[in-house]
Amino acid sequence: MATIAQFDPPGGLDDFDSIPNQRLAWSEFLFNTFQDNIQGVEHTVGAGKSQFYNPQVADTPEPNSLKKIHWRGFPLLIAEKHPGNKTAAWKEADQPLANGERSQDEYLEWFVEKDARGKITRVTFTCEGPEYWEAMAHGYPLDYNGPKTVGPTGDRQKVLALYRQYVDPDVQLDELFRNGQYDRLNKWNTTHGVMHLNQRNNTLSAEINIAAFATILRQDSGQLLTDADELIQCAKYGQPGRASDPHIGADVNELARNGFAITLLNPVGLYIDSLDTTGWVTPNGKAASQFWKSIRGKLGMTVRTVFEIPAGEGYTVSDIKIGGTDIEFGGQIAEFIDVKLTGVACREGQFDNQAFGCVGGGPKLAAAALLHPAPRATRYQ
Amino acid sequence: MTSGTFPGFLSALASVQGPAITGAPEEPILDVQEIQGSILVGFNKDYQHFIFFQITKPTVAKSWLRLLIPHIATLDETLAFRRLFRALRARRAAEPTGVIATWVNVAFSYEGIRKLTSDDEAKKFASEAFKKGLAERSSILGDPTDPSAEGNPKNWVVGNAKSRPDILLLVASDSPIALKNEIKRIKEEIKNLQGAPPGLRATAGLRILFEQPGANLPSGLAGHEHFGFKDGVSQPGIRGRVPGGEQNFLTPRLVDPQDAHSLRFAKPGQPLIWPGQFVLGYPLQAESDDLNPAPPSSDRPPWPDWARNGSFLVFRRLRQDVGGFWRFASAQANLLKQKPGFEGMTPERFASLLVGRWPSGAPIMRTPEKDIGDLARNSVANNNFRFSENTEPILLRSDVPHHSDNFPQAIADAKGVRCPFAAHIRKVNPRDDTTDLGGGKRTLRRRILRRGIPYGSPLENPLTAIDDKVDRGLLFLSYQTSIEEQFEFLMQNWANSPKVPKDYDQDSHVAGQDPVIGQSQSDEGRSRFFTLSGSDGSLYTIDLSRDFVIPNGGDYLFTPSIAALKDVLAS
Repeated sequence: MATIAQFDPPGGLDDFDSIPNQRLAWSEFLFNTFQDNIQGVEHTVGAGKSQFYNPQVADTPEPNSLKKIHWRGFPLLIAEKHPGNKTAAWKEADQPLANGERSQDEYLEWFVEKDARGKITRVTFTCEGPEYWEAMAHGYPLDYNGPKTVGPTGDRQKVLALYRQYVDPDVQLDELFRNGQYDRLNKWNTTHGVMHLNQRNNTLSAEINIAAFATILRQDSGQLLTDADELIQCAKYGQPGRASDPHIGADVNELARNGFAITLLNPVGLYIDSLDTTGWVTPNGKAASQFWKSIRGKLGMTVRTVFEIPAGEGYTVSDIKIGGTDIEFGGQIAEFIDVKLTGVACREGQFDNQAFGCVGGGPKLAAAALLHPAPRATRYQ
Repeated sequence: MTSGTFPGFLSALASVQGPAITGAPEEPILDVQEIQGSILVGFNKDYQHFIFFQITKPTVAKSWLRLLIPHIATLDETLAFRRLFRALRARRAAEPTGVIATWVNVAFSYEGIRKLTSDDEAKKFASEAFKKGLAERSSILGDPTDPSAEGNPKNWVVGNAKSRPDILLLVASDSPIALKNEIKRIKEEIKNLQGAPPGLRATAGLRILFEQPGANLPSGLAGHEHFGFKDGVSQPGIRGRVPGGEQNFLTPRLVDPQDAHSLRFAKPGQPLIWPGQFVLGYPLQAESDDLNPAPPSSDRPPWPDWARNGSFLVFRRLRQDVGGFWRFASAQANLLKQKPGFEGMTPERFASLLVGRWPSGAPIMRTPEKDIGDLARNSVANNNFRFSENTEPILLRSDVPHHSDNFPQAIADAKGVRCPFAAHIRKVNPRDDTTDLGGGKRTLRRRILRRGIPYGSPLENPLTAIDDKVDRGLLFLSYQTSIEEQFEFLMQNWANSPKVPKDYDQDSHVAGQDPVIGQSQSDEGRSRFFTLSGSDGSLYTIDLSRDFVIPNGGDYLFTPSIAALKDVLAS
């Protein structure tokens, strides 16, 4: 595979097509994010030794393989807080924080709609990163400080049109912005619906950051680290305790240990892979899987889905039983959703990097690991 | 056996008193007189008998339970017997056949607890699975949803809507005669209590719904299940001490304190897991810290106070189609041996790839080409292997007698070449494999204690079995403190799922469901598949159109403490 011509928007989405230069700007954002992370990795491993590469700079020769990395969408950290009590975990996961930020942190978030009787009529799932929407509104993601040579300024009407199409026809433009900036926590993405991820760590930048830094081999007291949780605690990328980050890190690190060059498959994104409805019982015996629909994203790269029962069936989502229990929370469905990202590995054995010690744990660094990507100085060690 | 002298029984305590290890967390003292004996130690008896009761008059049931309580074997008793038995076996270098014990334990379904207490009291159990019972949950375990299918709960011999048990009595003995006598004693006791002549069961207050005998297979297949494979080789080690000595550990500690593994392993391949995973009221295993327990949750415990020292019991009656299994293995072996990379494939080797161990119990990770009986019989070797990374040598204590492990070590198999990702033992215990949950440490929380025993008449030679229409199989029993997060998780998330816990990198092949216990129920039917690797690394996927293990009974139950029996259920 030659180098890619440019980085494409996630999921084969075509919203940027109508905005002049927007696709190019998105590519510029991703290109520089990759470069930024590679430099950060080289800071540790040495110039030219990063096993994470930019597919627009370096080509991907044969033989190469795709590595699908997937995990379950229900937040593991929340499940762990309530041992033996699933209802408490489901309740907590469905409940956002006071400011509307969702606590669903496995790169999958959802919004539950109920009827007057309190029965669920529809659950909408998304894994679209906020950067895409900020770019659509402003030309580039708000946190992006790199080169902006292409310079589109976004198309707010486009953002509004999509919100009206997917969330609610009554959305008003000024409800989506705060102090002139696109607001990830606007009411139509928090209390009144969901358009994209809003949990602070659920971002495309985070995904790239984890994939890049997980390519650094780690050792502790001379022992090469291979365990997913040990690696994430040592290297301080992402959030330990989740289903997603440790798993992504471990799979990438395993490829790195085998000497591969690694990158992310274009279009870079996080995708909803599948829903497993084995054993779900509907009142009329119809397969529950038919109520699961992909709404945005091309086949194999779904970024938005709904679980919804058409009016004619005569029952609601809550009338479906999973293991004898009615569906009362969106999280019950999320438990069976697989989220994925796809890596690319090539040049097997061409790297023989040493393993580095663990990132010195200052409180600043720990905090940086938790928050949205911090400025470079605190991210790299 | 090498090194160390054989300790006598009482001084056998010295051998389980592990040395103090720097940095070791303090392990709780277990309530040995409260916890029923089959949970943490197991009966380990050749003959068992299960009696399922329905309560029609709670007062009668309570009277009987009051009489039963002194006969309920506790951990104190079964542990003492295990230690005695092992000391004798070590000294005689043979099974001490003259030493006999007969044990009784008792478990209750949600409905049984409700009948003996109240609606409100029973509701204090937050476990949805326990409340609903196995039949109601069976569809998420992949059991057939077609009501005419044998595996559908409608057709179960026990545990279906018409025969839901309230009480399960487990009786076990080393002697079939002692077992028979104990059963007789129990039945007579009930009869005397009821004051009714035999035959008037309906008015008697306690009705026997179903009886199920189980027995270890005879001679050469002792300890094996009906397909012919040694069962129960790998059980988790349990952190915890028993009264009498600061280092009086429940699970014997064989690792030398100088070896860092001693902090986390009782013996090679046996990780130490916090007892809260198996008995209510004790520290739980942390999500990704394999040394220290989980921090206490701020939730109220999802069970009533009196449930402390109890455990949830999963019972599944599983019929095994032995003839079908081996015919499939033979047919596949014949097809495969003609393919490059699979030359010399035999039915036995093929079946061993499905299981992950040879019939003797020897792990294919350590001996991929042939069965080695000595390896299987060596308790420090037969479970000493990892999957993803090379297995490191572990130094064992020199002051305790043990085998020495001179067999070839397992080699790292991150690509699932030596042991297929979907092989049964790799599916339900992926060890150091990174799974969809994360690192290998995450798997520890999912482990269960297995206490099963075969049922039905044994076959001389499973490999040549014909379809004799005999109902034989496994009485699967497991103990865990969360049915959903342990047993159901292993079945639903891993055994029945083709891509997890671990899958091949190549998009062209998916690992497949667990070929032994996995089930698949989709719009396309119940067919499953299994991927294995040739010696040249090439992948090959096989279809499994039939189930070889069919559920035909079972339920979810709770095994309470002695105090719970005395103060709540029998009072």
